[in-house]
Amino acid sequence: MQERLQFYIDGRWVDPVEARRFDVIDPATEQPIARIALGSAKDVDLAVAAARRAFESFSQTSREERLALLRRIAAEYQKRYDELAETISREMGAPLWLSKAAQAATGLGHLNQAIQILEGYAFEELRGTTLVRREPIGVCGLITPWNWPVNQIMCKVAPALAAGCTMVLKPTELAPLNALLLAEVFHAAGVPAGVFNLVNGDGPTVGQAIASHPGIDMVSFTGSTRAGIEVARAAAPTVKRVTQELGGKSANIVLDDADLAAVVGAGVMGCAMNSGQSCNAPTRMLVPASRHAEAVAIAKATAEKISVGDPFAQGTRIGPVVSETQWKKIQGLIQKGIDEGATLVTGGPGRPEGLARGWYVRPTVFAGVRNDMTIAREEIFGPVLAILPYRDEEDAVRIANETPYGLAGYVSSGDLARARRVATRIRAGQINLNGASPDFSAPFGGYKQSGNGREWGIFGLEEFLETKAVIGWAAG
Amino acid sequence: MADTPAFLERNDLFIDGEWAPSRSGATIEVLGAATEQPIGRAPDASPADVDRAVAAARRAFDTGPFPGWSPEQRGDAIARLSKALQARAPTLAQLISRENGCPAQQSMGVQVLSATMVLDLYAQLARSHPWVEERQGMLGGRVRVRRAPVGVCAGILPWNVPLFIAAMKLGPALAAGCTVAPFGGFKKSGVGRELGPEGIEPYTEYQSIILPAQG
Repeated sequence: MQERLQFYIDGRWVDPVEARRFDVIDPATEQPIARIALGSAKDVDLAVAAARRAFESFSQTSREERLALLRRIAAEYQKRYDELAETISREMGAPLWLSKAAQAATGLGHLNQAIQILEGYAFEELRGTTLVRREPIGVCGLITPWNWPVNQIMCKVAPALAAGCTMVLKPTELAPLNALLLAEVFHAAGVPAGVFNLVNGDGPTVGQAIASHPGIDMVSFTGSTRAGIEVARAAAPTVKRVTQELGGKSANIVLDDADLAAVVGAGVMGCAMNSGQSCNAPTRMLVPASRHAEAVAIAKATAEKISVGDPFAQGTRIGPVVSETQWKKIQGLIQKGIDEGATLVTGGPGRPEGLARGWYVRPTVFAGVRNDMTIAREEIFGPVLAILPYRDEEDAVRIANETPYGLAGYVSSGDLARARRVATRIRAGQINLNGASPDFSAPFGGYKQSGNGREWGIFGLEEFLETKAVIGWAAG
Repeated sequence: MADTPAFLERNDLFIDGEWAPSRSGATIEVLGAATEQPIGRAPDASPADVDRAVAAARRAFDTGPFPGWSPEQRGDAIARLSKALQARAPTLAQLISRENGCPAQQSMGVQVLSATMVLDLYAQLARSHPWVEERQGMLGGRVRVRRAPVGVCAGILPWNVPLFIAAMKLGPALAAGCTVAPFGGFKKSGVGRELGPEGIEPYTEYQSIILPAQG
């Protein structure tokens, strides 16, 4: 079992000042595969000091220097691509096909976006006699989760580097190995010492230290709403900019003129992908009441064909969920669905047949769900779909918006103009029409309690920039 | 010189289009900065009043016509507000001088016309701001990016340039299509990069609508 007990600070791998050991568990086997160190506030102090020192020079680098750096990172990333995908599958259970096609791929996608945007971004704009400058915000604390681990690290690191910021990353302690591999990639690419630092740790210790550190200028957090609130609370006394990408309970609106067979099937697969562990998963499927039975039949058939199994086995569609804690939470919510009177169509509590070990969840579909049920209100983060019937378009929009969350929305209709109209009424940050392919240049982020700020593309870059006005720059 | 009473009593809060006293009946005695003497009384809002104001703003945002007004209509509303303030400028200038001690000579410009200038700017920006843009997506499709109003906004104002700060919040909030509540106070607030299009940013949410490839 590998021991990865060091942190990456100031361009070197160093022993923690003060740490305790923590096992990384393979969710398919429930066995430890590595041991890491969980650091302390003292380790964060060292990392922040290094980042602060490095910021002086890194913030003054030219666009060309940073472009060259990002290109070198992309090249090193490519060299370790397969290893990255396998690491992700082993520590958080995503099936290998998904790790290769999506999990690891998104990292490269965000790097390429950062390069593209940095090439053309106007950091200065003269408005009359006032110059408006965009400058790197400073030392950034990055806190990332386990569900799309490399996606979330790179959608922050790439634009932060492009902006000229330096950073301290606390990756998730549940899936830290991919982050350690990325640190090696950055080192090989020649990221200057102190620009990127990594301290492993848990939320209450290292996360808290980052959020409250006076030497950190902004915190970019992706994770649960509960933890995001704590980060903002800890950051408030030092008036940091805090951006949060939190939970979601996104509605998938199937309008009455949509091709039900295609759309419902795709909706079930979308909800189950990555074992339901996506903040923007389409977890509430809204169907016309008159076609509810039809939709339920299609959903049942689709869900029952999903192959659940070992992430490294051929033919596995979805793997386990990441941990025992998550598994128990999902089981509790499935039971709640049954207790509160939703119709269990397929799946249900317990492991799928034939899987005695590993945190595997049965792809589950509930029908006849009402929007006030727990399974319609709370984020489950498992392959559990709630199907809600609606009376008419007004009712569908009302149901979609009646949630404290607002991360994503999905609308399907045979009439694109109609889908567009409905999209503009959904209070969520990213709406997908008729199964459009994902777009890494589109702003991603939440309305309401799904978060603050936007990531991806140019929006991601601007989260790491401050705005300065220089009045009297030009002669009047 | 405007003719404001030596002691100005205001008993009502403005909530949901109506004037009504604070639920608790509590009042604030306002002291003149130059004289240290009472110059007026204002209602001291209670949490119940805040609830009413937020509920009204919520209703107006969720079901009312305002958020659906066109940018031109919103711009016109802000312009009307500016004109109404300009019509009462001498009174406002004198009142603010009495409250916070700003010299009367400066008050008209620094305290009142600064505010109406800001409102006029946002009346224009409401019409010209790129509320909806279509951009090329990364994989060849198109993405429509909307700047949507964030919702119900609370504004907390300081005492040094109170009307100016009010305009710096009301201007962009209304331009974006937000509703506002509550809106008065004696707490400090920081003045950010609020002038100009950046000023509208905090009141908007980005919404990306990813169009299917054939759209």
